[in-house]
Amino acid sequence: MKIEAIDTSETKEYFINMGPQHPSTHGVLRLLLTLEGEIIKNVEPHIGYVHRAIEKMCEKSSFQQIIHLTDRLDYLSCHMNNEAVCLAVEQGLEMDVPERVKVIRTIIDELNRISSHTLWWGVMGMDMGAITSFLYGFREHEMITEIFEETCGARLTMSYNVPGGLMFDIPPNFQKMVKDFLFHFKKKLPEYDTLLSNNIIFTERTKGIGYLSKENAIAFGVTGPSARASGFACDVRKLKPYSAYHKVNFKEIIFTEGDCFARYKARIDEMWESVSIIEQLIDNIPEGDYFVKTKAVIKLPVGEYYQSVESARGEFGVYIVSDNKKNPYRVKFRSPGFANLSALNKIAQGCKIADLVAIMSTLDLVIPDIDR
Amino acid sequence: MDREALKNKLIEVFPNASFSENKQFIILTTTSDKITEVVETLKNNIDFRFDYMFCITGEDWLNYFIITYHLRSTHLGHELVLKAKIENREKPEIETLSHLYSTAELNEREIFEMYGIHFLHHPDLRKLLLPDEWEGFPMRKDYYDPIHIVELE
Amino acid sequence: MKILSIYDFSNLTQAIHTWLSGKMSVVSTQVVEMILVGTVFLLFFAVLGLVLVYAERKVCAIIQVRLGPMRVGKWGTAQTLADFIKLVFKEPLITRDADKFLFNLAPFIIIIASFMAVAVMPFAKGLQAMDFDIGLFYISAVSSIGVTSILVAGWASNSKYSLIGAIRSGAQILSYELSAGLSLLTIVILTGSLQLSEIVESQADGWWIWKGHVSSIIAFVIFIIAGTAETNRGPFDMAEAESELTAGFHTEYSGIKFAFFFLAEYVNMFIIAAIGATVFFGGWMPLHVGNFEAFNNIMDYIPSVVWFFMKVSAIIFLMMWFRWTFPRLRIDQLLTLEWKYLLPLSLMNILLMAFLSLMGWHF
Repeated sequence: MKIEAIDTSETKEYFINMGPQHPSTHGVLRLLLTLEGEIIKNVEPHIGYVHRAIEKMCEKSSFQQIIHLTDRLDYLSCHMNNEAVCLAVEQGLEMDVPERVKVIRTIIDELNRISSHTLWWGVMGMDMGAITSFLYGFREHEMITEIFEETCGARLTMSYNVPGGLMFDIPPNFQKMVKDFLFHFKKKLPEYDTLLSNNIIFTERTKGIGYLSKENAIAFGVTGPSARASGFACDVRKLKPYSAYHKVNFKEIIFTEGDCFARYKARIDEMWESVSIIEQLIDNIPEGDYFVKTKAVIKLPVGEYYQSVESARGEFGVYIVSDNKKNPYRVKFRSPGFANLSALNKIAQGCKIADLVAIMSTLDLVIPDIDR
Repeated sequence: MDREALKNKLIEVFPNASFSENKQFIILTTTSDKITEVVETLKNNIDFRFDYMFCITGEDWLNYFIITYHLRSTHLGHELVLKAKIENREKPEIETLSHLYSTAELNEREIFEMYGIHFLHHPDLRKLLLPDEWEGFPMRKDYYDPIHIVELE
Repeated sequence: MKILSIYDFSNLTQAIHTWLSGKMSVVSTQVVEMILVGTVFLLFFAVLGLVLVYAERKVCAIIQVRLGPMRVGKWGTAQTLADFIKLVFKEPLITRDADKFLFNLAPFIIIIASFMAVAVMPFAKGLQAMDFDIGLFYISAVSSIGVTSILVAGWASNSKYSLIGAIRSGAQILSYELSAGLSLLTIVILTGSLQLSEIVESQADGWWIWKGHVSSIIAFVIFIIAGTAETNRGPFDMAEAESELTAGFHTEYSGIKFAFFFLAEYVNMFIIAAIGATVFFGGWMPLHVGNFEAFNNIMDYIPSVVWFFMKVSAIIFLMMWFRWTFPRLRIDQLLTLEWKYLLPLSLMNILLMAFLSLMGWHF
């Protein structure tokens, strides 16, 4: 019998589909991985599984209706998305909203950011195999959701903003609820560090993994905590303060490591900053109206209006082109997830499958935000 | 750089381009064939250094297309809106910017499938969000789809 | 040191043996006894699976600040039974182009491997199906057959996720088998025997974890890490790694075949805990403290089988605690941990133990 010599040094790449149904893609994201053993050679995102043509629908909707569509983009930072549209419309109408509205919007923004980050923290832990963190993260997320429910009736897709102000006034026990939450949360945040941040397995899994340079972060348009972990100062709250952000003192969390752990730490620290922002504002909500009366049919003057806000994932922008009709001529959402996803291939090359999971969770992708 | 200085400098560098202004931005409009050279200047000129492209939008104005680029300089902090006008509606084409801004790659794919605008020399011009067998360009104003689009009156 | 005779199971087993021998020939006696033991173990397996799955869910619920299963039966006790019925009635799916024979064979290999390991387990005094003189060696050998099943399952599924999971699992179990074996050998230096009953007897005046002090404790820590890794449980559940490989080697399995893998995981956990309890914590031996006669006598009144299961439960709880607290390691870190840290450490530990034993510095 003749045995053929097989050249074992020759390796072959193979493909694997991660998603659309996969536990760590957090939705219907499909990644086509080119692998060599466990090492990733290329990541090609295939998106669009939850594309709902929101931009097209906006062209047929009035400005008030658009707000409800933005909830469905990044559902974890729905209030920021609402606010971006409202600010853009208010900018077009040259309307000045009362101070009370600005302060309440800022407080809810930050609560929303905390709720998004707590959920992210839980999911991050779960992706790394520490399932317990998921439940812990959801516990705090749930408390904020209850505050939202008390405030505006909705738990997830709030639509609390309307052009000119807010849908309702805050409930009388709002301040107490928020303070109670903060009291609880400040005790629980160090617990987060105990469970994950200080765990040696976790730090081994994240430190030095998934490096994103500042140049690449800028080139790919990565924003939010993911970019600030690479040293790219892109906080819209600092660059172009909106609502009441010019009145509060807070630090822009910037790291220079650019790895998964820096992205993780940036979000944890951001939660502390959010707590401090809420604490500065919660006792100083000015009295006054909670909205400015607008016409039933809003028509923006001819022109284009761009408004960006800092959502939990990065810079969320709304670009409205108006032709003085009741519908916008063109609406474009600059979604942070879309840009963050585009950098995934760059970051993940040369990593292992397990690292890809860590990278994806630190980029904090929300798929409806990417697909729009 | 503050707004006036930026504007003066822009006029100096691009004497033939048309400018307009709104409350937020200075808008620089150029034609589609000059886009690469304009953007290269904007990115590399030491006075502009627009290194961060944060929004790319396609717009359909019925007899022409506009692609709007929102640019920011992370070093100097100024912002600019650049509009590229594509006159040829039958065969819309424009040079890609993906070699200058990596973020353009996916955004241009989206504009390609939504408006049917071809980005020349794009590394990987395929459909992004829509299914591969989708016909037509849904974000165009004359797109008609009686099944998927329900007209509300 | 006397063990209360009412708790000695050898009287019972001996009685059955004499009764059967009186009825039939030697060969048929042995066959009947084997069938009896097999049936008992099958029942034991079923109960073990149900109890451990329920226990795991409750332990994880407590760690995660929630209640766990509460609906089916009182405190959700019938939940695992309900899950089992669901799994039995589920459609067994097979992927296209899968190697059908191997695909169906794999769940049986893993169950048989764990079944074989239980055979030499000393559950209580006189309650041991087989008492080999190489019992410990036999257990280490048999419990690692399970990896074949995982490799076969991963290969036969014709799915890349399964294959990656299986290869990971193969590398992992082969590596950690070394540390687990070496840490057990450390204690064998003291016992001078591989026979499990003798190992237990040698701990009548104190468990090896105390008697061997430093070296024993190091060996136990290594053993529990390696044991957790061998059972493919978190933080070493690379083979499943549901956030990376959906479910690893059993991605394509459904219904009763999946239930086999699921059961085997828990039985393996029990086996590791039982070995740990036997070798380090004296098996069914009650807790005896030096010269406190009164205390020792009270301890003797607790049946030996209770002692065994108490110790096993404690170790199982420890393993569950690991799983629900730690994040998962990456495969290369896992192998680094074994080859660069645990293996040299256990080799050095053996030398240390040999030295301690030579100098008589143990108790």
